[in-house]
Amino acid sequence: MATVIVITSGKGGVGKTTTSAAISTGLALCGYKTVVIDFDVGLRNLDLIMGCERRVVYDFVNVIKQESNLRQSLIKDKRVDNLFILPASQTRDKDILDIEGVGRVIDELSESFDYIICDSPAGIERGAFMAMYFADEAVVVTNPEVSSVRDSDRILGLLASKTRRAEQGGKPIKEHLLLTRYDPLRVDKGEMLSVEDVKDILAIPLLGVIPESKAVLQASNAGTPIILEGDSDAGQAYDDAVSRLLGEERMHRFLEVEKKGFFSKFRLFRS
Amino acid sequence: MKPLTDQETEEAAVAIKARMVSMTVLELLSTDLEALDRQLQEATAQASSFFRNAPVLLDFQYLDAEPDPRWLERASHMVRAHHFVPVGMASAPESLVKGARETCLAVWPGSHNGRQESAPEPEPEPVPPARPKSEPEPEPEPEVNQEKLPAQTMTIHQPVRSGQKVYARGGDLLVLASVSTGAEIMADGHIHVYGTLRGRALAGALGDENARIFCQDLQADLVSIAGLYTINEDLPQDKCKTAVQIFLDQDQLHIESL
Repeated sequence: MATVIVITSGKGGVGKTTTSAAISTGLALCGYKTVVIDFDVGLRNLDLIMGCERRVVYDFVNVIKQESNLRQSLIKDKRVDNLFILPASQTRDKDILDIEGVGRVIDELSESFDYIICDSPAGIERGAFMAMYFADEAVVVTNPEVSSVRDSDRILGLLASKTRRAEQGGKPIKEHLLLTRYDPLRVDKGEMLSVEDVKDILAIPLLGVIPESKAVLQASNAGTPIILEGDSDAGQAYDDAVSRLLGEERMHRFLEVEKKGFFSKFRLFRS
Repeated sequence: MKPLTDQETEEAAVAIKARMVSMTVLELLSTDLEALDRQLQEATAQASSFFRNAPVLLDFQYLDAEPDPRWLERASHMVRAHHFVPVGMASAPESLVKGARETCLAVWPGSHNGRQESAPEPEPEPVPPARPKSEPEPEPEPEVNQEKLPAQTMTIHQPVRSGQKVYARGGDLLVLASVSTGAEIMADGHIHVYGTLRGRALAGALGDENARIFCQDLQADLVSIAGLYTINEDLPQDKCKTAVQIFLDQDQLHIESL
């Protein structure tokens, strides 16, 4: 049985797709057979971030409509073993997703995969609802600013009431907070909410803090999941987050403004 | 917070239990069916979703006339047409008790809910709040116990998130976590919040002026008691982010440190 993880946020542009690409790649690198599904039907992006946009033949909607089978539709990643992508359809809209269809695809993937990562669209409409419905765990991606935090709070409410686990009264979904685009300098100046502020409001365990980094946009444009950029702090932070997702304990890094001290000038003791 | 559907209850096909629930009561004050129809229409127009499919008890204690079973049949048909679900009669005159079986209404003996002290009000629910959506409340069932027991308290252990509504109908509300901004908690009685109160809190939702709000950390969007409210901007600065109680005294909201 696979573990189904939804990457969600409510608000758009906070880094859901970047996170989906990074986490699924990270899990695959750890040896788990992983598939990442793009639920953003009509506005697909995951294929770009994963660098497989030219290899899409059949998509998620084709599988739901039984116009193609999974073997035809899954795209195997060229860099990482065990990693597969199920792209969204660009020419349909989200109303085409239905619980039975999505459930059937998830069930079928469950048989052969360890992890199913669902990349949720923004909003709280049908696409987002379908992405979260079958989840066992949820990674709530939040930027350190009030509107993103409030939307995440709303999503957490929906995760606790509108999902299969909530409806069947089973174990609640395991929730993780992932704070992205974190800039310690601006936090110090009081321009951004701090980790503690966000944790206080959302009251769920912190999976990781991803620092604001130019490398993220560069990696996206190049179609490389940021976690593969091991030199970048964002890539390392995602690597930590994946380890924590797998149960390992790791210190949170990149929370403080980097001191420009004697040693760092000579790049001797950089973490 | 869901009703039990675990293995252990699944094996037994039925369990008979007593449970206290609050219920909407329709106090019948006249046998004039047209007036009844009109006034029900007005009452439900204000809050159709609140009353929709609400179980109601027909209370005859203020009705002097002795209507016949045919009247009861027409009256309950009319009540159903307004999307109430009549489940029983209280203080029903002798003439109706027999007809009750045919209209599928349970018969409650006497008046037992201590409503006599207040003047009868034809319009129920002065502050019609919307039904809570995210937190299921216990299934409404007819009251079994005739003794006056303390009202039920609803206890919430998880954070109440933005967009969620919780309504403790007929009793107090106890929240052991925080209430986010954009969330709404309501109770007919008192409200206690042991986390941070950032959302809206409305105590005494049916007009109980003795209801109070207690919270550990006041950062509320809005607080209201029996319909009298104040918004965040008007909260006294020295009381914000502290533990307070909020109560009504002479039609004024008072916020006092705990």
